[in-house]
Amino acid sequence: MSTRLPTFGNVELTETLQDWRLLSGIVLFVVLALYPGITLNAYHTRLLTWIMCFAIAAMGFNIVLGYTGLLSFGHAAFFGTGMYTVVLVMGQAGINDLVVLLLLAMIMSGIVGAIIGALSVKTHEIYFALLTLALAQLLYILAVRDIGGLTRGTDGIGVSRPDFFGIPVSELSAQIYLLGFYYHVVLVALAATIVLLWFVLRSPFGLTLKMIRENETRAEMTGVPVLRYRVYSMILSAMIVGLGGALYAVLIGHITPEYLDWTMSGEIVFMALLGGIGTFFGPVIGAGGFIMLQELALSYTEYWHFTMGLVLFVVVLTLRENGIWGGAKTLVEMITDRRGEQ
Amino acid sequence: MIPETLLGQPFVLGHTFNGLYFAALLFFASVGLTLVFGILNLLNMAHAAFYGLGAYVAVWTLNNIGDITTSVAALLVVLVLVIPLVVFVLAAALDKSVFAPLYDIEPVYQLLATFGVILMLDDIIKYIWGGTPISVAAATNPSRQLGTVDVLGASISMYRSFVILIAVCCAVGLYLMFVKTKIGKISQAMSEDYEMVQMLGINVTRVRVLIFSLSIAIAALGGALFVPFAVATPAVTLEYVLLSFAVIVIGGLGSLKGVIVASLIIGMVRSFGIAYVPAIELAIVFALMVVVIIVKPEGLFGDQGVVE
Repeated sequence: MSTRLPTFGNVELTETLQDWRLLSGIVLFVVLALYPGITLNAYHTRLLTWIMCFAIAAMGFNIVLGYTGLLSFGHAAFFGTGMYTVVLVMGQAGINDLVVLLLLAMIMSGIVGAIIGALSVKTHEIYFALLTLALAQLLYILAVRDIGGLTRGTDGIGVSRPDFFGIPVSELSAQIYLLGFYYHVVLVALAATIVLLWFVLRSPFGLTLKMIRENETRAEMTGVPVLRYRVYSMILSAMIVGLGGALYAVLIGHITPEYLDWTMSGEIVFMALLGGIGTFFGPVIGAGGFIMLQELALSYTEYWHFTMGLVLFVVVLTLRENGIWGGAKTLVEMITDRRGEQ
Repeated sequence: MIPETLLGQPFVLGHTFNGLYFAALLFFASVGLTLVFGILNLLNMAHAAFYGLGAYVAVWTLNNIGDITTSVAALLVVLVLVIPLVVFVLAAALDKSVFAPLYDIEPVYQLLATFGVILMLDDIIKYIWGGTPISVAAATNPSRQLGTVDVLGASISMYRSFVILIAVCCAVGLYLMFVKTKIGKISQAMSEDYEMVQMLGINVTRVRVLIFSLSIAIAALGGALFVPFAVATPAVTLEYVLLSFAVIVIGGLGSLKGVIVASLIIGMVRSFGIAYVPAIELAIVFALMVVVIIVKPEGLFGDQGVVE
């Protein structure tokens, strides 16, 4: 009954650094960094920032699903915690520095991740999915019914633009704030997440997670404290998803409890799955694919839910854990293999 | 403090009655979900979406039937027999097409694929009936026509009593089907060992389509019965998807008895919760779900068969 996922290739570190992937990564980063300055296109920059926030969240989510083999249907709790931490710390404590806000958001999400993780790691498969769903839904109800008197219920709360290391960037006009400053913060955050996870998931820690996913009993027998590692995986995942949420909160400027609802969890799962939960970069591609598909569908029809549902259905039945990124990789391999034979 | 009037006998009676009514609706929405999982090993997240569909179909039918008949008996027949029958045929077609490939994949992927089905159904409903809430017109609304009676000072809706009665009939009917009929016994055997039943030369696909369509039809029946007393909105689907999962988890996946008991528990919790602690009424339901999964993951009756 265990979820079948492919094993990840165990690439040596030195090999990795000489890889073409590092070079293309740097080129892509530079191109993306220059993009708003050259095009001055606010719509595209906003869309890209949006995609990158969710790319961070989807990568964070995939630590639990792709690497540890647990389907969580409650990651909206961490995304929402990140968002609400930013807005509440800003509003209640008056802290207005972006870096401090992001760190606090990650810590808070990590704490929520530790609690939800500790309560749910003993369960498996659908029970894990349903338990994380129920726990996240409790948090959603807390925010909707405004039980602490902080969240203002469904009305939500506005988010003002934070400063950066004492530099009053918030005084810039909204357009320049996004094009010249905020976009680059999110880009750096995404790059940092990718680099961090690339190393963490290839470290003994990451390999242990994969071992638990592949064979829990064997991991237990070789002395791995399985449950504790699952909690670690939830905490790391929650912190990164919380970072994505915190960055997104500042981008959209207004947050509501909807971001804590289970349909939000579903969207994060959807993104990771679309890109490929069995691949490292899949979730990034998935976030981009999901948001662009949604924008495209919305421009043609108001019935974009149907389009998204159909895509999800087809992806689950055809590409499964490979997603579009894994599918594309297989396609490229097939083509190069055929060339090699000729 | 709770005002003294809130503790009065009519009040408690009224809320017990409402709890039974909630329980009836929850039973309709979730019994099929647990049967399809228990017998056919399909975890269909989109199950309760058919509850929402039933609600919309019922509003549309009742609002267009006025020219033909307004007699209460005819309206009730439409809600209890005609709509579920139509949905039964639709579900059979869907089982052969959309749901057929889902039986062979792992539960986690079933959950995700059927989440996609919810999204699709959501927009199909919006396309046909629009996104704004719609409700049944007074002239053809059986709940208005049936009125209320006074029982020990509490005002009891005749229509709601009828819904509770239908739920009881439905539960008894399902129990008898599983215990007395051949199809029911085959279904029980399938929940034990699907492949063995297949090897005995029984057409399992036919039984599968029957169980699936029956399950979906019961969900639609619930939606149809729910709507004269409420409004049909897209949010109904999402609410009942969550609640039906709470019911089957608390009761135990795959257990008919579990669904009945859990529906009663959640129905009562919601009814008295709304009266005494309205802010956290829904939170209690999810807290219960959390406690059950942590303490007894198999649910109250999940370690037993479908009908034991």
